[in-house]
Amino acid sequence: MTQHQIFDFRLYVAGDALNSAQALANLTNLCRIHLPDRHRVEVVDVYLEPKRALADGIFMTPTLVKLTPSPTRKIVGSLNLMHPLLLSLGLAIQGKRIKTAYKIKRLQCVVFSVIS
Amino acid sequence: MKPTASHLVKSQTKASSGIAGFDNITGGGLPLGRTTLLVGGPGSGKTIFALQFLVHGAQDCDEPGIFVAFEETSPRIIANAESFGWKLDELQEKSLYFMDAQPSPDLVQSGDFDLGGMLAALESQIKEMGARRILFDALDILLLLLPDQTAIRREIYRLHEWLSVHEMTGLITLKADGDQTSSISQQPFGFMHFMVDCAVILSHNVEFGVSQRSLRVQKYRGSSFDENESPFLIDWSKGEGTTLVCTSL
Repeated sequence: MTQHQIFDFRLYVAGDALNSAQALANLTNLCRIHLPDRHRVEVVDVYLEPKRALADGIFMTPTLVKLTPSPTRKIVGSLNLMHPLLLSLGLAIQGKRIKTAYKIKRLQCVVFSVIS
Repeated sequence: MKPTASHLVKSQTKASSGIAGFDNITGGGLPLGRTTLLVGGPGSGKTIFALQFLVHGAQDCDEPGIFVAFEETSPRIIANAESFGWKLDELQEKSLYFMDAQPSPDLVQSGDFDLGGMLAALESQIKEMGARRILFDALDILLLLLPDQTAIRREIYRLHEWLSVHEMTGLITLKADGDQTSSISQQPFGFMHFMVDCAVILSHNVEFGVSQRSLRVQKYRGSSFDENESPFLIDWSKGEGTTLVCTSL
């Protein structure tokens, strides 16, 4: 999976339900950290487009559908459990690399503050 | 004074189930615009009873129905119904809608969810066909995905409230776990028995090698009913599809 792959997400929410609001916040957060400027998110409100929920077989809300890169994945829930989410999006390995990137950054700050 | 079958008054606040014996026991059928719980072990006839309720409503009472399937897929249900002589595909055009809501086995879950999506989809379907009856078959399959008991309880109350707001005659089938001895409240969905307006228990056991099917109305708010356990049989022979012939004593 190349580094510049664009992630296409569709998030089905149910009006202003608590779970749905949390899912939207968690997804925005995840994209900002893990997929900076290579993600597109379409939010579908099943109360406004019930026909679409029926056609797409969405019965549990919130539901996140990862359209690209394939394979498409369906993740149900408020997306607050990061690990299964990253795993199913194939971002877990990257997750580790990003963790190490954090550590390096923190180390640089410490060294910098010691020198100055 | 024990209410015997003859004293029951037929009233229009009841939705006929299409099963003569059952209508007799309950004085007209299931509570109209209310929710009924149908509990039974494996092979006790839950889906058949519920399907007959929908087919009768669609065919004879001009009350279109929706079958929300959480376990069996609708093509299989329709194929099985053929053996009762029910031509479901003809009914499907206007008065009987099958909604496949089986959670896919490789579903990934992260956090809590609710049934908002399903209810929204159902709402648009109800408006479109003017459905009056609705069946949630094996609802426990979906409920067991919820993270904890409070989420399960919350979603069931949401469903119950949604059904009463839409004045649908709702039927929910639920698996009874083996031992009836454990008190109702211990069972995973035991509290549903207290919530619904009518609860029917189907059982199927074998005595001396002979299969015994019986049906008991456990509770029925707002109406008298025959509290005894009545034997019933599933009548495959009749082409016309009457399946449960309750011989209420």
